[in-house]
Amino acid sequence: MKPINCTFLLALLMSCFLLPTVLVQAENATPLTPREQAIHALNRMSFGPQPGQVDRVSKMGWEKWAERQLEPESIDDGELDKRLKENNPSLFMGSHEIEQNYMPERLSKEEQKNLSAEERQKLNKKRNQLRGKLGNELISSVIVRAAQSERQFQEVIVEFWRNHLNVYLPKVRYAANHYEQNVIRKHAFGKFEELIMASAKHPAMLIYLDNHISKSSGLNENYARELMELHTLGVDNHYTQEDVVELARVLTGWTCGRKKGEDGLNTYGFIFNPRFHDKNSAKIVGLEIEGDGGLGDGEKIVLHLARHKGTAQYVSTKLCRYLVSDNPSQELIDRVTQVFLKTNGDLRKVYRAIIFSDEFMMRENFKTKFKTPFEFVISWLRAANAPVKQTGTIARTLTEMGQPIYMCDVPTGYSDQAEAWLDPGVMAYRWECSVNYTQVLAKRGAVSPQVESWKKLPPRKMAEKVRNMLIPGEPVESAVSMLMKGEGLRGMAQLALGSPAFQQQ
Amino acid sequence: MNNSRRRFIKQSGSAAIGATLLNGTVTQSSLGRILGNQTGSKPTLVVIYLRGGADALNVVIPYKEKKYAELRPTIALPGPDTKDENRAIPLDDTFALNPNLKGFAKLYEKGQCAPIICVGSPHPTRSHFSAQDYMERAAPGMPNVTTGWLNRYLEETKSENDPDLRSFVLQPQLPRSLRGTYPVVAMPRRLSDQTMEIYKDSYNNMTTKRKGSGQQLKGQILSTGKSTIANLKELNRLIGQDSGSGDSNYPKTPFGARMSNVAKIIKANKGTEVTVLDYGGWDHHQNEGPIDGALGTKLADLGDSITAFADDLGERMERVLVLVMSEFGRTVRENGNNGTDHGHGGAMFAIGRMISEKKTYGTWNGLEDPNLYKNRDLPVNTDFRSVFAESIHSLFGFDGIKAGLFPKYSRENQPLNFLRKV
Repeated sequence: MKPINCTFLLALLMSCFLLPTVLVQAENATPLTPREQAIHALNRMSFGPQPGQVDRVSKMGWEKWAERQLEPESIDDGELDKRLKENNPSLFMGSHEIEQNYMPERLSKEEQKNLSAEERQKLNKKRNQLRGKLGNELISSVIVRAAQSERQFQEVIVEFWRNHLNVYLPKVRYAANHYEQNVIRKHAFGKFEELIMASAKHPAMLIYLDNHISKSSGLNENYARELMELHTLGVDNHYTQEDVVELARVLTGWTCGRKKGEDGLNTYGFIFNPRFHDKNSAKIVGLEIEGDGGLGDGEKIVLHLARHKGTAQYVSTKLCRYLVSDNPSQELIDRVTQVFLKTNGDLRKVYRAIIFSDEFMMRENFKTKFKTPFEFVISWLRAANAPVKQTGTIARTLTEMGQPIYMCDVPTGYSDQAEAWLDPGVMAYRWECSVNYTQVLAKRGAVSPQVESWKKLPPRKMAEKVRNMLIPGEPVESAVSMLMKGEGLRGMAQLALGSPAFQQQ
Repeated sequence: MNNSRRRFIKQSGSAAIGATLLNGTVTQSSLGRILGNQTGSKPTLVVIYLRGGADALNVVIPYKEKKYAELRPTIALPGPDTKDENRAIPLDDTFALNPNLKGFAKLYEKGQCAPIICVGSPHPTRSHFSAQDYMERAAPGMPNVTTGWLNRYLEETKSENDPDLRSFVLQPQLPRSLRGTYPVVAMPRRLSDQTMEIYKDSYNNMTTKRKGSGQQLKGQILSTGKSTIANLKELNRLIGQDSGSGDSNYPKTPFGARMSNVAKIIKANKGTEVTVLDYGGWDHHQNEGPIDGALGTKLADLGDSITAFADDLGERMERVLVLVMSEFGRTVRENGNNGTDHGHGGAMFAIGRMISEKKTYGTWNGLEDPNLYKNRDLPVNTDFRSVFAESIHSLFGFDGIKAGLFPKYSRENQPLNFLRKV
């Protein structure tokens, strides 16, 4: 064989090896088409597209849609608010009102003594009913808002903070509704330090992490640890066990009790109790506290932690992971961290820095996140434009899938990375859910007349419609040939919802 | 994928039974043993992970220590030398068991239950998440090690003929110890065969492209779906059948039901080597209630379920090891709220008929201040990795330390030697 042939062969051989990598790079370098951009924005900044929404967003340009979503107040959500106020009134009540409406009348000791066994049982039953109703109002509001609010990005972000500042409903039954509305929702588009301070002063967090019973004479480290590990700095980042104990000491006296509110009513809520408080000096993560500034000492250290550069890094990383990719680039994280620090944790600006970064719309991040159970369920309610009425069933489905709302018993919250959810058995639930829900919808006739009319179409046309509605990011040919194996409209919908494509976002 | 292996097993197994029957010497137990050995049923490791940091000191109680009751004025258990009806059950001159673990005490008497004290991680973290992570990956302080230690074992010793149920869990999410490249079955519940039929074709026929964004994730979902279909049918069959016998002795709790189902799968001889059960809710910062409160109730459920499991498996426990663990112990002193905060050294239990000696394993230093870790916690005198290493060495004859299963870890000078070779 002549030498020249050898070289040629070698070159050929090498190009075979190199080609795939080059192609992958080339493919990832292609910008997303306007339609793909719309799909991506709707996947990440909302809980998935509703019928027709991909077309609308792609027509107006995704940036314009995103701009509005970043300013939730600019979007009218009046109709939903009206419905929530009717069906979930507790969300809009102060603590005093919640007590009045959801706790049975309080009896004096004397009165309690005189109750017959039957009366006592009746009272217990009433208490359980009211308490159950309160919890259901909270859980159903989460589902309804996520599925139907026009302010979709707000809902996506609220879900992030709800998880970041997790509380466990069974431990804080009377405080969680108020917490959702007045801590998480109120501050989700405000300043990070205000969000953290609000959570630190809310009975839901104080009770959940046991700070309300921590005293100088008997310390409880639970909240102090999680405040640094989970809410601000991140695990073992800039702090030690000594810091945990010192912080717990400074936060003694941050508890709950009754006091007269501005309305003159005697309400249960956050109070500072100097009798529980450790008055000594302390040093925590570089900040010296002289001691006995009372409540002010604790406030100083909470702000110090919220403003720490370690916190900016940790929170920025988590947000990038949530919105962009399970493994965001360090450059992106650094840039977002800078914005966080420069704006003193102005969350709106932080979100903006992520959404309008080059990375956000890169092809390499398209369809690369695995939906959590919550995202799966909500996205298909949206895709099918399903009326969200039986929220109890939806909540139970989420429990079975391992992500019950407001019931994560570990303070870590649920993971937002595929690794944690993409388990070998995960599709079993999703298939069952897809089959059951399509059946229920069909039985109730709860499908829109437009979709109803698809039943008359020939299979191919029908499959195209289903693809456009449920898995619009899939190439037409492969999607249609997969869907045509399903029997009728319902069969096709089942296949689409249970397909890999519908699990990706 | 392993039809030929299954066929071989079936034949050799029945041949052996035939021979024994001809000799006329078969008894119930020898039949069981023959089936057990000849069908290639492997020894099995059942790991039970108590999440939240169980309070070791109120589980295995150093009842002779004066300090014990002193440091825990409201939550210490009455010692075995008291007349209290809830007194701890003595194991030896130093330790007693929480009275809710009476089944464990009986197994201990038979030499089938080994408490291991002052065991845990060399890493000082008191974060639930980090401590669990480091432990389940058997890589304390090494965040770059991302695979679970049990998954590494399975990967290291895999063969082409591995049975599908070589490792499974009966819960929705895989514990971190089983995450990694080796495929482990996670089957939370039964799914009707009918539902599986709907997706069988599309999942088995679908392919992914080599390139393009989202293709890798799509591939993962596809393979997950395929294995779900294959394995669920098998599990449906195993768990669904034979529900009459054995069940009744288990507590009527979710954990009891899971233990009962695990027993069914082990008894079906499907070559299961490893399974893990997560049991949450051991983080008792307030009102610990070691007798009939939060901790006590949980211990009773745990103890009764595992004891029922051991009874159910009977002689099979010669080849089945149950290992109970938690991420750390808790503070020696009780906190201001009749509870305990995150500590360091903890306790484990090993249950099986391969325990080498009837005793409490591990080194005890007492509860005097200088002997505590950072003046507040039990010390870690035994690295959890030595327990892990000995367990798989005893069960599977696999020397994990030599094979590099535990990064940066070398053999202890004085291993516990708590297990005989199976």
